[in-house]
Amino acid sequence: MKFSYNSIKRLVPDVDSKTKMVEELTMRAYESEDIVGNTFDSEIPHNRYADSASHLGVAREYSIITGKKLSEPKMASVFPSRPKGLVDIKIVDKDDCPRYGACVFELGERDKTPSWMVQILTDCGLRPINPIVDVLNYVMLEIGQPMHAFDADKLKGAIQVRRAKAGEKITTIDEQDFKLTKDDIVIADSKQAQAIAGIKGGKSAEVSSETKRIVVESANFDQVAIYRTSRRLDLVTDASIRFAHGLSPELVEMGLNRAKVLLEEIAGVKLVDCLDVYPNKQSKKIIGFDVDKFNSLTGLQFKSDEAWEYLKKLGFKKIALKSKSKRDEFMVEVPPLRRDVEIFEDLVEEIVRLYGINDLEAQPPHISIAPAKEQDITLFKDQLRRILTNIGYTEVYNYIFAEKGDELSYEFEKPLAEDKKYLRKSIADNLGKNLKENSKSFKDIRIFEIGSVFDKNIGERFALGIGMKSKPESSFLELKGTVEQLLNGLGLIGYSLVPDKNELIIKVGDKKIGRIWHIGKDGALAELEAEELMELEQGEREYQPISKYPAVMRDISLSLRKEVSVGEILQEIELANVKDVVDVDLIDYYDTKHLTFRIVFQSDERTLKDSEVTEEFNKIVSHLKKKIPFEIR
Amino acid sequence: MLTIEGIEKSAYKELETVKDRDGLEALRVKYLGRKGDLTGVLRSLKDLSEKERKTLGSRANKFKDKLQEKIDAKFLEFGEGDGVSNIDITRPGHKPSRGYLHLLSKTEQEIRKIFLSMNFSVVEGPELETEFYAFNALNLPEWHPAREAWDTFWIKPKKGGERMLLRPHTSPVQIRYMEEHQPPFQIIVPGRCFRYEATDATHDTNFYQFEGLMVGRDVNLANFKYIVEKFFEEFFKGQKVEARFRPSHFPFVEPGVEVDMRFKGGDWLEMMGAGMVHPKVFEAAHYDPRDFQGFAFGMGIERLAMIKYKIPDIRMFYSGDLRFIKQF
Repeated sequence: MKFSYNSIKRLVPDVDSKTKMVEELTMRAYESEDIVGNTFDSEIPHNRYADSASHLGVAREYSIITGKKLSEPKMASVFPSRPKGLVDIKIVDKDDCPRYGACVFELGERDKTPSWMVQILTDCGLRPINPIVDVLNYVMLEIGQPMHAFDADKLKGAIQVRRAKAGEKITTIDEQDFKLTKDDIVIADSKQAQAIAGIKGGKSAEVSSETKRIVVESANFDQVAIYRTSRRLDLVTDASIRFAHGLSPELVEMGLNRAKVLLEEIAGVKLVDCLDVYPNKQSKKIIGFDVDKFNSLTGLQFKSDEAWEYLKKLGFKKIALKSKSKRDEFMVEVPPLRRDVEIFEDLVEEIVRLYGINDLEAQPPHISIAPAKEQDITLFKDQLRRILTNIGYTEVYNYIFAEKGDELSYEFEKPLAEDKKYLRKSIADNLGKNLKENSKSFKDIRIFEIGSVFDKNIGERFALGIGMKSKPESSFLELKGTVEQLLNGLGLIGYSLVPDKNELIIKVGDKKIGRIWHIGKDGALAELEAEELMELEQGEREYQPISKYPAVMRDISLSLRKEVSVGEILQEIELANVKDVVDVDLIDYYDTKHLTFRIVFQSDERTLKDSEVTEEFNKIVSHLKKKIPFEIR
Repeated sequence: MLTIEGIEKSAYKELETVKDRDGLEALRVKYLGRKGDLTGVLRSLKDLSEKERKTLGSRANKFKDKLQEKIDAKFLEFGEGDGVSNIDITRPGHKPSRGYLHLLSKTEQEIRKIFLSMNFSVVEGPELETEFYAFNALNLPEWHPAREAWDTFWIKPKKGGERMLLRPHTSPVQIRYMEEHQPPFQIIVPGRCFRYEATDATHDTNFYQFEGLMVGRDVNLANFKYIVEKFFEEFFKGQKVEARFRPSHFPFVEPGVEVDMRFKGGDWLEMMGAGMVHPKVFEAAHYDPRDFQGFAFGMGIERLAMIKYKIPDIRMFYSGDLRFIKQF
């Protein structure tokens, strides 16, 4: 929120330089920032609009922090003990409007707004309009209470605070038309809505150059109702922001008291009558303070009196406590504008921030000796990362939005853009894009991503995507090898890669846990249900004895009469069910019809004789001959 | 005269049985030397017809290349010998290919390591959250303007289902964890968060955060300072950084704190929001706030990495650009 340093200077005459003041506020109240000219910005916390969204509030904080004297602005006392009855107010629901104050003024000579006031308004980003509006705006900035002036002669009958009728229409002073609902609070006369309460005034009772008498409204409204209406109508004003954050009904009177002084001084008006309707009196808040608990929460070692000194500065009142307890406790009454202070912990904050959180001495905590742990999911993701980076893959992070979706996709209420309408169901889609973009700079690209995917059936889980782009055929085969390496690395044994048209389905048992497919001519992608892999992962591995006996190799070169996939040949070799075969490899691949396989024989028990191996090898050959037509090269 | 087939056969056979570098050299001379067998065959070509010369010549040359290749390989196999002096070792080294961990993972691992060393456990939670865990349980009721500080990606609701959203912070995991664990404990929660906002060099629609939560009977604000200072010390080891602690407001903590950081002499940068856990948050997790107290904090992982590695734009993390990723 923007503030004027000029205004602070009027309230705390011996204020430091702007830079120093901003620093003091930042370190002990709320983050503040120097802006060009006389302006500075303070980030008023959401629950401190009642006391601090005003120059007086910021000056008060500054004065408490530094001990510099606050010079309170001149105030009148407008509410008469016996009103003349020139203004009448009816509040339909006191929860909607805890307090409504209104004063009638007779306009006199309208002078010019003085330059000091114009300066402060401009510092805060407001445009001067005319003395009456300017004074009311100024009071809002100074005291924190939004106010509104109606042309008194355009209002018929009593002022009513009521809910709008469904479909009720209003044109605001800036000529916007709104259709209201029963959720909106309006200020109305006997004929129509004259203002959207707490947000904006209506056109029909607007103050004009012909206006002779005005009614100045200073009221308090239900913050949630104002917030809802403001959001629904998409109508955000200085007033609506303040009301939506919650103000104190006490400000109602302060605002009018200050406005009267300035309106008389600047606009030459005369107060005729005032009325205060305050059905929901703000109750006093009393909170107990326990210094031991305070010390326990902050790590400080305060005596009860030390703590009280801080609260006293902040305007709290001490209440004698009739308690027999030995604890060092007392009760405090919260200043009426400090609506944010509700519980003991709020008092702790008040004291410790004035003391200076930065000045608090750090203390090592007592930590229980129970060992710290990482969850399986965290460790498993690390393991995937380790395996894949070890074999040359680089990790990427992508956004989780998707352009396309289906009935199982989660869809955003309000997507950021047309191509970001859904939550991704697959992680590999983005990798395809990454391969393409990186191909401008790299010849061989190996990437992976671990991240969440979403699906209405299964919900959220994490998946693994791998992408590879190199030479046409080798991409797919390398990726296939990578997936195998990964699955072996995880200790998974019972998996299979099952061809399905042009892709491979990765299966464990009957369960599909992923697939590998082509992208373009020279790229390949794989996606795996990593969370399922985590469940299937084998823990520790057991030692496998290493054979003491030599391995014997036999190569067989086939010249196929018709194309048969390597997978089928390997399967047939396995089906030959021959003794002591420990490995079968495709070692030469001339073309789809000319292949060489190497078969490795080894026994754990003895050295195999050449004749034995030949016999077994011949069994394989004859088995193959029956199934697949070929010639030996 | 020797035929090419004959030479081929005997050359390969001898190659199999060769035992050392000397034998290999002798073999090379025998077949490929100036007076070698193959050279002889090539020389004799001139007496043949052009057609024969062509077929035989190409066959002989192919064999010559192949044999040279095999002999070279064998030399390598036998290891260093005189041959190594021929290698120009000032040539650029051959780059072994390797994979790179993304800087976000690397930074997260570093953070986890530091906190594990201080006995904090690491916990994760879902990115797709319910309104309850993301807001209500954290003392952020509906229709509260404070919620506007967390611009949210809402999911189109299922009929009758609870409102779902992409979590705008990792704080929901505080509640999820406390629902299932009793103090004392200390955890950090790394994870991806989302904000519905326009992007610029320091803001993105998603970012990584890690939440800290320490709860016990006497965990205090001075303890929080200690943990955070130690963390900065470790994370920015060797870099001169200082931190400052100032009041702030977040509905789920009381007192609320914000921590700024700067390199000596530089500008202050906002690093984290923090504070003592608000009693209402304990209540939402079914704790009795009279029994426990503790602190919580949240910090951006990209922010930390950007400062440590001087990265100018947060969006680079999600660009998938290997020219960026392979730098770390």
